[in-house]
Amino acid sequence: MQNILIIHPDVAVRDRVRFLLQHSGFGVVGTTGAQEAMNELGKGCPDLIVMAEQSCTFNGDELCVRIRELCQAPIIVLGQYAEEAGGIGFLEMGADAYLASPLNMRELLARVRSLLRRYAEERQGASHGT
Amino acid sequence: MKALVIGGSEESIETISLILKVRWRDLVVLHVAESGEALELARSEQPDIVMLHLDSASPGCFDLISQIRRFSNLPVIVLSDIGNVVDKVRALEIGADDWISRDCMPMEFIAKVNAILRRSYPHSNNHLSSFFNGRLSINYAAHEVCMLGKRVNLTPTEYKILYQLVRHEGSVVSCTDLLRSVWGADYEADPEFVKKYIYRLRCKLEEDPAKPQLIVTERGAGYLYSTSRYHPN
Repeated sequence: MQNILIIHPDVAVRDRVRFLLQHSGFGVVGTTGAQEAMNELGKGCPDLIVMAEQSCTFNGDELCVRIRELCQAPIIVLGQYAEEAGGIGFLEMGADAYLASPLNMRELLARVRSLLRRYAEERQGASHGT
Repeated sequence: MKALVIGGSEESIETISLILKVRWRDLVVLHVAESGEALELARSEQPDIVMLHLDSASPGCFDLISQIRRFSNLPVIVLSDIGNVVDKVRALEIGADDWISRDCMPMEFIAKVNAILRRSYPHSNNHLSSFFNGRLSINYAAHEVCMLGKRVNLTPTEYKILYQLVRHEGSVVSCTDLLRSVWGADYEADPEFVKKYIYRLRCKLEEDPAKPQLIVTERGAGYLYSTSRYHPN
């Protein structure tokens, strides 16, 4: 089973995302913020991370950068604002996708699957070809 | 960086080229209007990325993504004015890596393309699409290996091992890493397996398999693909 780590301070959003992902066959660990997420990452690397834009810093550092020091799993950032351009900084710091607000669950699931597919290929060393 | 752009007006191709050249100065853009021709180019030209225009005039876009996925894992981006979530989800589910709105800001466009290339070619700053070092060449899209211009037939496992070694050219790849990346993390293969395959690879690639110069054993550490130790007779 592929495991996904959620980092989101809003319990309602976290639970909606957790429900969607669990019912789509993924193992899910929910965390409320950066500190708790870093503790989880210390135990092992998930297959994908979904994080809230609000949780973007850890001890003054960018959380994306700190995550990249520990693992290479794809990161999807759930944006606080409607402008996708707000995600440029996250993409430059190592995130793979930025989804502007409001969050569309179908799109989130499609992004999760697309990135997991690409990450699995990467890990199998078959980035190209059949 | 080589980008294959499918569909779209001349003006939009020019805009894409201008934007991407800010980040990738060596950018080459191949532009085709026809999907049939696009498939041919995706095979023969080995682009680093495919960008597909989707609009009401090009409903065949989804078929094209599926067809590309049948022979290649090239990163594919859909460029569209359509903000329809259903289409976006469909494109992502059949194999697209991203969906970018055509009116997005230039810096956002660059950041998205860069994120996809980083994920698709994690071990290369140059976003490898093929490998060539004078003796050995590998076409990653077609899994074709040539030694001094002559095609070498490798089994899928031999190819995967060579691919791993070439990706880490100049660095030692441990037996454990090879086992994990070639056979998978869950498969408990015997390290002797690797030894056998390395020997077969050497028989196919080395001038003298008993004195390997391309695939070198680093005792106790693993194997190394190196061209620096190669001294032609």
